[in-house]
Amino acid sequence: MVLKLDELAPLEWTKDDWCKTHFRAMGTGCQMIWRSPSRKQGLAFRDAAVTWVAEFEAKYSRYRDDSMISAISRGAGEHWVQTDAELDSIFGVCDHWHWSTGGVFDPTALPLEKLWDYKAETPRIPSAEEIKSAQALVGWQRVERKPGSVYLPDRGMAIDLGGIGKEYAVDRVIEQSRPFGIVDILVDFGRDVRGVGQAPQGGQWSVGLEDPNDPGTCWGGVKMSNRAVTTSGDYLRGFQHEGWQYGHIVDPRTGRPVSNGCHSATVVAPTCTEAGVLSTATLILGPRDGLKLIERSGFSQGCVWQADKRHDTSRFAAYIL
Amino acid sequence: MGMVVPDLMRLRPWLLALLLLALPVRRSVAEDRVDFTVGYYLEDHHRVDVWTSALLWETDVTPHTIMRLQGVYDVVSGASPTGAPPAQKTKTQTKEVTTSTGTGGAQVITGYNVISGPTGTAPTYVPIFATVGPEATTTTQTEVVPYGKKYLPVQEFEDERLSLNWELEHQLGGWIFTGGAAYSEEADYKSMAGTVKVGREFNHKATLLSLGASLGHDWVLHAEEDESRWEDKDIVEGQLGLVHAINPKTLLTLTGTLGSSEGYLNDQYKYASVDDEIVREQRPDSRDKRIALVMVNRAVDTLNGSAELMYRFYTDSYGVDAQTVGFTWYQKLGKRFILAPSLRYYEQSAADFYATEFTGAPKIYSSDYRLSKLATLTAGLKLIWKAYDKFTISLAYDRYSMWGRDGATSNEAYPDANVVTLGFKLWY
Repeated sequence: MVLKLDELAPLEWTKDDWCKTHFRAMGTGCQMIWRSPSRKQGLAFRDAAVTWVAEFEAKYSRYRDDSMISAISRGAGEHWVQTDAELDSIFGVCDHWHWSTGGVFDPTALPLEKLWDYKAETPRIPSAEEIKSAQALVGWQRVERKPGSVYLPDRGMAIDLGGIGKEYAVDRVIEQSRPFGIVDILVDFGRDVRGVGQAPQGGQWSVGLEDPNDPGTCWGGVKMSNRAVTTSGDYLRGFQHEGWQYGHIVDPRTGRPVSNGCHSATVVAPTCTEAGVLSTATLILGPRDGLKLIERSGFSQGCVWQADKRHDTSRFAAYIL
Repeated sequence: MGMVVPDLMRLRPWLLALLLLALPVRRSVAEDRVDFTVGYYLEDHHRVDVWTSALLWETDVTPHTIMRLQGVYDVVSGASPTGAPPAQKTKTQTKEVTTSTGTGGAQVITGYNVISGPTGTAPTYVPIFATVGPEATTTTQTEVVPYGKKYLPVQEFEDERLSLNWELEHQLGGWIFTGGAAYSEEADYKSMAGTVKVGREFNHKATLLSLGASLGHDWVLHAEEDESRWEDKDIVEGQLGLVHAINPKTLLTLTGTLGSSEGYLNDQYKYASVDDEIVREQRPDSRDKRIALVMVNRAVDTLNGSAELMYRFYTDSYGVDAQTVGFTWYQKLGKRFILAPSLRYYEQSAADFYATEFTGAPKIYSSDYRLSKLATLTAGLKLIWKAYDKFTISLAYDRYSMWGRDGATSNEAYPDANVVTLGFKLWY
């Protein structure tokens, strides 16, 4: 893969060794801020990271017909499909989170998401029969796997890494920064963020948290180092039908969009993958069960906005700026 | 404060033991007895709900010795204000404004390195990181910016508590000796306590003087970001009590209590705004308290009922002074029913270190609304039905209201609640 990196991801470099680049990948805006001993080394890391992200997207995006994920979905009900070590590893992570969230996180929920297509010109409410049929095609526990290959047992089943892909990529890019001697870095892919070391202004990284009741502004922010923060919400994407608002996040247990009154869930966690899965699962589960899930996970904290009210886990306030 | 059910949930065994001590020492001629009570407390807007159930068994071990065993099981869940400041306010913020002649031109840092939010429509923020070119210059500006939104930060919680209390009471002539032990456990709190009490009857058993002491040790699980540790707390209390029958229709009860707690006294789930930073509250590591209680029970034959009037004064080294006044009327209805309406008013001053926000890096601070200047009113109605000679059933309803009196603490912090209690007593 040959990329014109200077055009796709221009590098900004300051005299005090801070680098920044921004680019589009995985259908969203991405940026990285890091401190590098030299411009040359900064360029080398940018090249490595952006190239890896481009390859990652090419292999695992469901929107590309030539991707491994599309091949797996095409082979559903027909044959086993070859996977690589990275995808096996991602599937292992999916196993863990599918089990930990009681099935709320499910990478096979695509048939339901397609059914509730908020991007359609005229979105519609599916019938109960349609929902039932789509639910029959959902179930991560039914996916058959062995090292190096995977099989979806029913035609119509599909895999979508949309709930974990960006977050996993953030963690992998952070890992890749270490051999370049980078100790201060922030990676932000589509507003899923992980920061390591110090920020340019000194001290911890500060991350604003968007106000779901007033998108485009922040209700506050968190400070963090060696932590990731993600926010899931259904207030930006969705559709209205006969006066009801339907968000884009579908609860695989009911087959319907989340309707518990939660507008957004934010999680601060050691890794972006964990934060991302927990924030989405929390949005689906609602404040009581969602915040309990976050607390149970060990070192994560978070909050949920339900109308005008914010619900926090026991120690989330310690992160608030 | 002690009237709030969630705070009752936090009563430790040493306090329960003292409550037992506060009761008049009973003559050792009891019938065996079983009490079972189940209660439900629900705050308005479903903020907190508590299920509590208690089983007490009292039996004569010897003709002069009574043993009591009590188990209490509580389940509490809901949300409680963290103490972080609510509502919209503004703060003065210093920010760096960087201008550049480099690519991208002058841009402004929003105050955050980046923004976290759901993927979707492109955000309308100003650029989130200054474009810093070789000719960049940075200046510092101070501005007043909105801070927070109109809400009261709350923290979700769910807990179960099991406590066991054991007490042995022995009568020897005019002397009554009582000893007890208690243990309770919940996810982040453990407690052990022991009590002793000596009572002496005078005046043809019309007067009972008692002296009691209690020692307790608590362990509080203090959780930091990456680790947890158990912190210690020691409690010692002493109590002098007098129960005197002024005449066959009037009973006077007086008690005085001295107590002291030392160690980890913070509520680790409470936060405060200190110099615009949200940090955990920090209370003094010791608290001394003094309590005086006066209660009069008076039978009114003409009305076929009796009245109970009580006054309690409380003061402690936190600077909290509190008083409670309560009145209950017990009205007999026929041979098998008693109806008991009650009204209780409580008010307290704020702790010396309470405020809704702090500046100047104080060492001791708390924004826990329970330490603010507040008042509560409880109105209740209880019906007792003597179903059989040795079996009664009671049903009680209380409406509980709390409000702030400092004009500063958000009214949203103070709960109103309904409490329903069902009780059964069996003598055999």
